[in-house]
Amino acid sequence: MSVLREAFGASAPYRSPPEEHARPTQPAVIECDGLVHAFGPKTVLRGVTLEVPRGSIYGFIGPNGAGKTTTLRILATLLEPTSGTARVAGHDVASHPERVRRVLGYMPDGPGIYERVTVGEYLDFFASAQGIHGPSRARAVGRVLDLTDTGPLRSAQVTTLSKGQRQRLLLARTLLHDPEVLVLDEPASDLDPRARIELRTLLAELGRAKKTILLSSHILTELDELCDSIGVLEGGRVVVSGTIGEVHAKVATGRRVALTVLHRVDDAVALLRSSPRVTAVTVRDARDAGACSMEVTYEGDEWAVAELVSALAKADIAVCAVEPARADLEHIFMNVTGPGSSRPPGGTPR
Amino acid sequence: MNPSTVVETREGPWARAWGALVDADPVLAKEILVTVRTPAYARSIVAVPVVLTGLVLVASLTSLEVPGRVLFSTYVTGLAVLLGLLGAGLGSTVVVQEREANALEALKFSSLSPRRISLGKFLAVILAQAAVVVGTLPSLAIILASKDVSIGETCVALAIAFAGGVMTASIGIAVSAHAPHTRQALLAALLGAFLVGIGVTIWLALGSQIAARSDGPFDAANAYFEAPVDGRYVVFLLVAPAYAFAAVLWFAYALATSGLMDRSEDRSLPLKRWTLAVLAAGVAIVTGWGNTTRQLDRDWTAAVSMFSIASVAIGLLFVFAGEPVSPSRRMQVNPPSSVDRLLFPRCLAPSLLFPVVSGGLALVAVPVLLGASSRLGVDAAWGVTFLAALAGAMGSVAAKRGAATARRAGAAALIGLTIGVLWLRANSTGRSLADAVCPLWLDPDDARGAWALGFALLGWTTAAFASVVSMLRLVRAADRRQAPAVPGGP
Repeated sequence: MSVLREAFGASAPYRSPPEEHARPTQPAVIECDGLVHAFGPKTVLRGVTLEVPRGSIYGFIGPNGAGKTTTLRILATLLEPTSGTARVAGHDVASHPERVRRVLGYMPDGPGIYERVTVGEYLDFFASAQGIHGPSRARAVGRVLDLTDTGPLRSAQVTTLSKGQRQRLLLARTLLHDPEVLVLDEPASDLDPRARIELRTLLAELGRAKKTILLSSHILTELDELCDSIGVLEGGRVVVSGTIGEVHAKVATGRRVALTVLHRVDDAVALLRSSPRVTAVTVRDARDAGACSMEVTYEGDEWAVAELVSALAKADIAVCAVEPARADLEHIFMNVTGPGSSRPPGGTPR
Repeated sequence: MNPSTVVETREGPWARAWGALVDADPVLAKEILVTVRTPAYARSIVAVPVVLTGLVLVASLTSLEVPGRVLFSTYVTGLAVLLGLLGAGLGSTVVVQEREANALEALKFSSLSPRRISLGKFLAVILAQAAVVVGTLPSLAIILASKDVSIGETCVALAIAFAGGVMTASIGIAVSAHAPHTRQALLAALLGAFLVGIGVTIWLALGSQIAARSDGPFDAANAYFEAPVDGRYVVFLLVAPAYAFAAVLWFAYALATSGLMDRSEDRSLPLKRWTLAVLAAGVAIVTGWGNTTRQLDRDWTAAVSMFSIASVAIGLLFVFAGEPVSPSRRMQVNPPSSVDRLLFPRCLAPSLLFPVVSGGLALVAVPVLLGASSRLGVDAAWGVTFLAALAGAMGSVAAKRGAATARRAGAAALIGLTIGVLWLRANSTGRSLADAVCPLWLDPDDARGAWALGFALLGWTTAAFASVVSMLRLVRAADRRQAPAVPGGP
């Protein structure tokens, strides 16, 4: 039972492991309050409110047309909000865009490269455009080439780069002025698995370098492994925001636990489903020699889990592991977006 | 991660010079690199001198009696056309290709101002044109060997041809900053090049009237050395060309800069400065010269000025369709000085009201300041009301359906009204509905004509008032719709 207590805690209905999704205690470095933006007659943002803690990697999720790019462009000072406020490192994007640009690196969605220039020339150009001149420019270019592992490509034509290499180059461009905040719009789109892994490693490294990263993506599994906080945007509003654990606690329809049984998987599933406390059983992955992990959604507290384990034991089904089920983003996303979503009331929870 | 890529290397003088250029103007440096490496440009660098030399050689070989002056005219005319085409081709792509490649966003995010971006691109195109001119110098040397043309004439003719190319390039960049696609930009730039060609032809025609010789189109260059220095010389050969050249260049620069600005900034500010300065200078030059030399047909000058101003104002209406009527919050939190507020009131920008008010004021002021006949004053009043009615209608459509629809509707209205008026006039002998739409043919000296004119103006004034009021109401309603009460919102 101590395993269960460790897994669920004494009072909180759900809590993810501290080392996995730590609750941010840092002050917010990006703050949006009631952001509204309209393109002509079409209102895209309808009051986006979110906070990104300093040093965190924040995933911005939402279906197409939800307003992710518009929000990011407002933060990058390329758009002015129709109403509401947005601040980056304490600077208002509407009144002090030049200050925001000094502390923020923005990587827009799309290729954004020039034909007929080399990687070195491309970075030289943008370094100078960012006001980095003379020997500092060479140092800045060398630093970002090192950081993004694009040094060997320095003399290569930009157009000859693979998509993954281009993405690393764009990230290098974003890092030229050593910004403390990075805003990345769909950085992993169109990348093959290898390039995604390389990009994820690079972003994780930047996260360890205390950069605050706000990134949008459609690839939820990528964000799941990378981000410590998320915000889900739908219909121009942040419908839920916080650490992944917090968000799951807000939107979960029941508590979940991952059980691993060593054999008789079908019997175990049938037994669990017959329990009135269990609302859903999902077989996740079959392991060697008939062992199988399954996710069980149930009503009740940790005693309910104890009863389920006990019932399995009485039926001679060997349970080898009981763990808190990981709150995956796809589960959260499906819960809070689209018809029949279980988003929390109030519209814009923090 | 690789070991450090920062390798201390000893740079040669070229590398140091290049580094200094990148530091001084990164846009210029990048554009030079890209242009030089563009195959089409490399081909043109070779092709233009070959074509021109071929033309000169063919002309000289087909008839040994062809004087050097004719060869010179062939050379300069060909060069002017090629420079114009090159300016339109290069200029029209420099911004729009970045937009299409999604690279403009990153550039606008950098610390470079729109002014520096447009100037850097402009200088790069000019340098590319200059390189082409340098490439043609061997063929010019063949002509100069005939000793029929002086060095001074040659320099002036080349300057006129190059000025045409520069104006075309500037218009190309201005178009490029606003166009969504390369093809549209290229077409509009070629149209601009055509208009510049007309302008340069007028310049040459004025010069030829004064020139001692008249052997070819570029004999206007001869006038600069051989014509007597009098009022005509100063106005036709110096002031008017310099004024037109500067006005076109500045207008294109203002337009290019505004195209690179965000909607939250005062995009019309560069154009407001242009309007104020160019109109003030233009009116001062024309009135001053007309009053002192008495060689000016006031009605003709006023009509040409009104036509030019109305054309620019209509162009601006299309550029500023869909802009917000009131200043953005970013503009409001950065208040300008009192002088700026007085000269460039923000309530006019960036919106359709700006071209209506500035164009309207200028249309009314030009005939009055020139002391032209009352007929032109009436025409100007019609121009103002028509402009306001069109702008109000476009603004209303923009508020409800967006700027693109407003531009299409505005163009359809302009073309439709023009065709309708022409058709009605062609099919009627006396006064007709066409006179109500466009009362420019009515005679104010005739009592019935004066009444009809009065009614037409009253109708257009009412339409303009209703149209602008409707636009303001719709824009405000759209503003209210766009800013719903939200938790945490202002």
